[in-house]
Amino acid sequence: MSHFSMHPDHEQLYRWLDLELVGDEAETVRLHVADCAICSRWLAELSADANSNDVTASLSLLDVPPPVVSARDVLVRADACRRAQTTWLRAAAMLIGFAGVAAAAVSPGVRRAISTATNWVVGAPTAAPSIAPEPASPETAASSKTALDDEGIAVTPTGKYRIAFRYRQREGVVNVMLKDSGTVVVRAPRGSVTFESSPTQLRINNQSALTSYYVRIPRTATQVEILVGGRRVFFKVGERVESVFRANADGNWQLPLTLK
Amino acid sequence: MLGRGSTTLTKFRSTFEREVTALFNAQFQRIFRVLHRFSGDADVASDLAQEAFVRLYRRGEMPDAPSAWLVTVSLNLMRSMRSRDARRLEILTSSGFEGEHVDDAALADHAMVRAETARSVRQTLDRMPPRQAQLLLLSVEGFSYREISAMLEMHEASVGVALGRAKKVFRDKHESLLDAS
Repeated sequence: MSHFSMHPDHEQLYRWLDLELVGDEAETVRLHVADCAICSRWLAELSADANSNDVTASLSLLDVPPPVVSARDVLVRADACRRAQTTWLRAAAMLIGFAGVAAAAVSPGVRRAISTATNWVVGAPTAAPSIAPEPASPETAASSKTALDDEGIAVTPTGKYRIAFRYRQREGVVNVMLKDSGTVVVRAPRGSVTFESSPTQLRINNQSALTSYYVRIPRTATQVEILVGGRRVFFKVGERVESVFRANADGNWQLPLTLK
Repeated sequence: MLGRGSTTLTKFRSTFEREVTALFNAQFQRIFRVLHRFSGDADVASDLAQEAFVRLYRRGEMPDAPSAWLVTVSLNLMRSMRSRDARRLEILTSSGFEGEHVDDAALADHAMVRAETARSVRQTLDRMPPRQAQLLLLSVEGFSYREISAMLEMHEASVGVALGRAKKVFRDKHESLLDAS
């Protein structure tokens, strides 16, 4: 224990007054102040500032009873936050996934890349013959490049019309929509299949294909049927539609090509 | 192997929950009091104090100085709230006494004087620089210089002088308010 060789500074005196100094440090200040008139005077001035009693009493006037909250409540709240966060993250992941799917559906480049990659994986040729629709009549449109940049064919049926997917596929569906337009439109990813068209029939050569298709049928069409591997899966006569599969909430059909 | 790891994780979570619970029981009311005195709103103080514990729980491990960590987080939350919604806070602050229970006895003189004094204390705190008010409140709540320096991210060797100044500012402003009223 030793006396300060110099006067303790204000910080030291405040610490001593607030009992922040312990042991030798506190004793050193106490001994110095007892012997030093200057520090005694400083201490008297500072002690008025350092005294907290009046401040504490004033501040206590603000107090209200603390809320009745338990640690359990907080843990439950933390778990709820965690669950909400997890749900949000899942939703975000799904959104990103949907966005990716949408991008793949919209972007021909991405779609081609996916198609190429898929074909490569399953061993199919990456460069399938390009679609060369054969106009069967003046009403038959030539190769129809849709807004989505798929390749396909558009035909204006004059009576009974058949859309025949020649083969079942290991995967893929036919998305069927009824539209107000006057033409039957069948779309497929570019390079995935070839079409054979006649006034009464459209044959899709889909051997080894793994893709999905979009088929638009005029609401006004007299009769349209869709066959997969020789089996009729969709049949429209006038306004009546028969299918082994139910329409979804949007009034469209999704016909699997993986029939057994 | 998986079962053992799962058991270990469960034990860890259980231990951590006990630590959080013990800390909550020891510190929640202190933190609530500091926040309430600072903000003037019991709901805000309660919510932010709880939120600090929620964040501690979600953190998954104890910080080196848990009390300082909790206070720092809750004060940061309050600062964010103030900057985000200054007008709302103004309303909350001014309504600090509206929720206080006042029965017939409050009509008595001493209750009125008490309420007036409390109002002036509230105004005094509001007129102080926020950091100085926080320093004062934390000190009055009994936190050590070291804890306060960690909570307010200030040099520990300057806490004493800053605190002495804060107390003097509080007294001077409070007295001037009382004199004016």
